[in-house]
Amino acid sequence: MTALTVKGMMAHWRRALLTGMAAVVGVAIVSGTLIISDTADQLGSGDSDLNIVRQVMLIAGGVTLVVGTFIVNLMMSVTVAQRTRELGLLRCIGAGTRQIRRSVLLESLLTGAVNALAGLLLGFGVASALRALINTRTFAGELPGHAFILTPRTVIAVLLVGCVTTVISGLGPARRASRVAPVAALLELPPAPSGRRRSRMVAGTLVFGAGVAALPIAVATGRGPLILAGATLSLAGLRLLGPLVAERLASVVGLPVASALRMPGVLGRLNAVRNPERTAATASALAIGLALLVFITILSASAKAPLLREYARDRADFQLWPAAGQEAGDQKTGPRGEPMNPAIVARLRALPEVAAVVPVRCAPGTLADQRAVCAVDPATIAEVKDLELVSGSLADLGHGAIGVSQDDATAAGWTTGATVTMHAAGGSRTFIVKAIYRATETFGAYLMAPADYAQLGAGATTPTVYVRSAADDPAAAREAVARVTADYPGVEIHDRAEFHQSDIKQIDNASAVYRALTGLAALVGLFGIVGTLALSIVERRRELGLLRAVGMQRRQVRSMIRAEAVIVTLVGGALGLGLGALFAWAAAGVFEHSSSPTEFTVPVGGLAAVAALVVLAGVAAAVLPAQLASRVDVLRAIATD
Amino acid sequence: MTAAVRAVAVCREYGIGAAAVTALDNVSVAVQRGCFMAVIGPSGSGKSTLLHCLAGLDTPDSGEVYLGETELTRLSEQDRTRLRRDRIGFVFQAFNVVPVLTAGENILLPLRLAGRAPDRQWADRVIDAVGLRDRLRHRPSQLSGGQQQRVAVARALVTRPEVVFADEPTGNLDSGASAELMRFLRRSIGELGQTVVMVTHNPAMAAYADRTLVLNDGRVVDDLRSPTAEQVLDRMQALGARA
Repeated sequence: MTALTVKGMMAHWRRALLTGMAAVVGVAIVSGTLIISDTADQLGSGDSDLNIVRQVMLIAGGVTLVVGTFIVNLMMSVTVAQRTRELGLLRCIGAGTRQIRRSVLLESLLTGAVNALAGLLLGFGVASALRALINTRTFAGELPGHAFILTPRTVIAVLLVGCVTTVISGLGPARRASRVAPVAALLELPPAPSGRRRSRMVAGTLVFGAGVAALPIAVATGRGPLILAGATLSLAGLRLLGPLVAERLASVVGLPVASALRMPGVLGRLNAVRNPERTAATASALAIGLALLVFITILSASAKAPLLREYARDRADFQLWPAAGQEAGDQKTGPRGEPMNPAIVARLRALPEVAAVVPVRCAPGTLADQRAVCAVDPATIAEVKDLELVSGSLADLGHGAIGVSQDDATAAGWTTGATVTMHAAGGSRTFIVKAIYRATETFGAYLMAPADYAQLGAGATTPTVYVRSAADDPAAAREAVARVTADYPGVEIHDRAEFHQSDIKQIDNASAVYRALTGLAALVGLFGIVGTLALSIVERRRELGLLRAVGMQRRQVRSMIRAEAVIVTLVGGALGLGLGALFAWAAAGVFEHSSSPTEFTVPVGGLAAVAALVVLAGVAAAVLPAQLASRVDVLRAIATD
Repeated sequence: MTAAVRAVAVCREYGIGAAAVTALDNVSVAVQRGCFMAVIGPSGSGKSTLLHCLAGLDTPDSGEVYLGETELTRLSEQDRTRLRRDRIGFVFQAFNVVPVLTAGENILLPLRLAGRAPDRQWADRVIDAVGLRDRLRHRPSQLSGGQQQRVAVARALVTRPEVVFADEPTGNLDSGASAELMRFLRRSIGELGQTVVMVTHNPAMAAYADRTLVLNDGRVVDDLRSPTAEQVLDRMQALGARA
């Protein structure tokens, strides 16, 4: 029996290869992660920043493995269904149910072992590609260009992961294979309809509902782990609901495809819904990887959105900082280095290239509730910063008045006209709230007129000077300002773009690395479409022969298969986009009030690119199956055995 | 009157060297328009190969095949596909219908593939001739084997082909359904004036034809006009006795 299994696999090596392809990628990512971490650890450069990369890689590898397992399971199920007659024959000549089951399990074990080895080797490729990516897109430390280290632990772990996942995906098909009756060899039995449809729908609805419901709860309570639970449950629910959802969705998204491609499109659409179970499994495998990709895309846009908005509120083209010697700080952290010569402000104001020069003087948390207090000139502050007043007016910020941020006002229940007591070195004083504004990352402080600020006893600190250039010519203004500052050693000029761009760059870089990883999971989903389609071509050989005989052109056959692939891809794409957006919405909600605040933003361009890629990928996935289908030999296909 | 389809000295061999099998050995035959011709012979006699060569599904090693004035053997694969779609109709033994399409859609399939609008009057006549009027919206899985074959006959006739080729159309049917299908086929041909070439191994089916060609070892051994089932059976038995 063992020899028979091995011979069978060798004879159908293409099928075995196709089945294994999906599993290899996940194994390769896990293997690549382990290789990278071991190498980094060994060299003592186990940067703590790398830990997050390692975690994301392991999550991506894990998800890719799960998707791969789905696909291997699906393809083995199809293969077993196609071999019903052969299995029946084996039973007729005396093979026991156990022998059949073991044979299928052995097949999956062998497939797994080959996958694990291939994955281990490919892991080096993944590792070097990732290292190159991380090193060119710095956001989490540098990986040394040392030769990769392969530890025995990695080898054992990868072999185990590869074999165990494939054997797990072989369990179901093995059980079904062992149930094939001997008479199946003699009769053309229709495949048994999958039962428990109703209970499956109920369970699927419950699990999916619970998963989706967990997301708003996570947002409301600010619990991150609930998102993970919600995402897992809703994906599991989707897997159960799959056939129903996939059938409906496929017939809807198939309509435009069918009308664009006429008869081949019509047939492609009907083929996509003829086996809802299979379409669902293929589409949901793609959807999982895609959901992750969309999640990362939306989340990084959401992390960028508040930064970009603040960037837009900033009207100063540069900031002048007093002599360095300290880390770049802001009003929250207070004074920097040497005092700045007050004469500099007067000289700058005289420059024709400059429209506004606004010194802002801040004192750190010795005041009030450890928050900074800043002295601003109410008349000119709006020239360099859009404070987005919520109520009151900056013009009222005279003697005895204070401006507070909306967050503080909401927290303390202040409205304009409320009184606020400040404690400082110069004693306690009471102020009336005259303006409430929206805080920004660098402007969350209490604002007051310079005179009051001095009275509070915090006057000795150095101002930061905000400069806005005239006539939209920052380059000329910068040159003029630089000529002035040259006389005051230590004063630094910082461009507006500098502050924001470095943060945005970090997010972009991290997002590029994570998108590459999750993109691999989506790629595995595509392999699933290629494999399932190729197998169904084998199944439909007679039908294809008939179509060719009654006059379907090769070109039309290819177009029919392409339509089917695109429809299945679109179903997976729609599900992945929807779920990914939902998960990202929840995550953005949870992180909204974190140290790096997010604001749910849908990057239309980015998502459109993903959608376009999905359609293209669908067409690409159809290339091989379409070739197979159009090459079906009419005579052999219609011959009756 | 010109022949609808004509084979001239067609030879076809499969395999090479010692394993070579001669399926057709210098076969010439002409089928007149409006004729219902049966091709009969024991298994391995070359009757299916002859049908495939006449229909442009297979290419002879030597000899020529004409459909009307068109020489099939000279056409490219793409042209032959178009010719099959537009000028030839097929009925196979089994797997005649696309399972995802309804009976009506299956019947109109060749026209839809060609992007042509069906001639409604003609389509109605064909559908009525095979008696499928009330089954058009059914899926193949809801039809009996005989009904599926009638769908195939209708599909073969709907394009007004120059010749309909039928390969053991009753091979998977019981005798009742076989007789019924043959009556439908006979009637359609009579009413619609079509030319049919049918391969069978069943003398009773051959008896429905105007003319029966008997093949053995790749050669034409008999050409009977309007034979009865008994006559065909006699010839077949004579072949068996000789072998």
